[in-house]
Amino acid sequence: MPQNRKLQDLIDNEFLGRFQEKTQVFLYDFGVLGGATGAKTLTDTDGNAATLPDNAIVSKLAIDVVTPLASSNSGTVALGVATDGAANFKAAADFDHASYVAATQVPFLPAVGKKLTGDRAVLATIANALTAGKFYLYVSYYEGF
Amino acid sequence: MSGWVEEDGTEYVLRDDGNYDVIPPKKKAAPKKKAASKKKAKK
Repeated sequence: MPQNRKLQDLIDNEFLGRFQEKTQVFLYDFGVLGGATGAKTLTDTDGNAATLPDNAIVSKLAIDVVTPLASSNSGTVALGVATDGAANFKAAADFDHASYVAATQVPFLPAVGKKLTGDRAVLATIANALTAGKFYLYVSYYEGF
Repeated sequence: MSGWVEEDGTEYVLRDDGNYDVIPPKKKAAPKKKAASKKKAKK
């Protein structure tokens, strides 16, 4: 019997399922999405389309910056989801704000705690254009009912 | 055309490439001030 099956037998499946906090990782890559003003639809780590599920309740977020964001025009970035709020995760902040710098970022709570009303793409809304940058956005959530 | 309007009036319009154009809210014209009443008080 496979080990994971044994584990499922030992622990009720509910405790491995919807009641566990989940985490999805989304990618902003300037080399792929560009940095022009507008809202960029973040992808999964392989560059494919990805969404958070309907009814998700986002509990916390973290940003892993692998290429520093750059801008020649005071660029700003906001984080959120389509339809339910493009700045629900994080209001617009300067490209060099501590939260977008690898050495100083810390995990944070969503700015607006709104339960998702459908499968939602995760967005980075850029103003005043970026000229470089790559980061992974870790989104933790509960599935909700 | 697909997209939505944020609570502050900012409009998000879906582009062919899957990203969105962001259109700032239109500024509302300031309401015209009513002319002050110039009724003179009767003596």
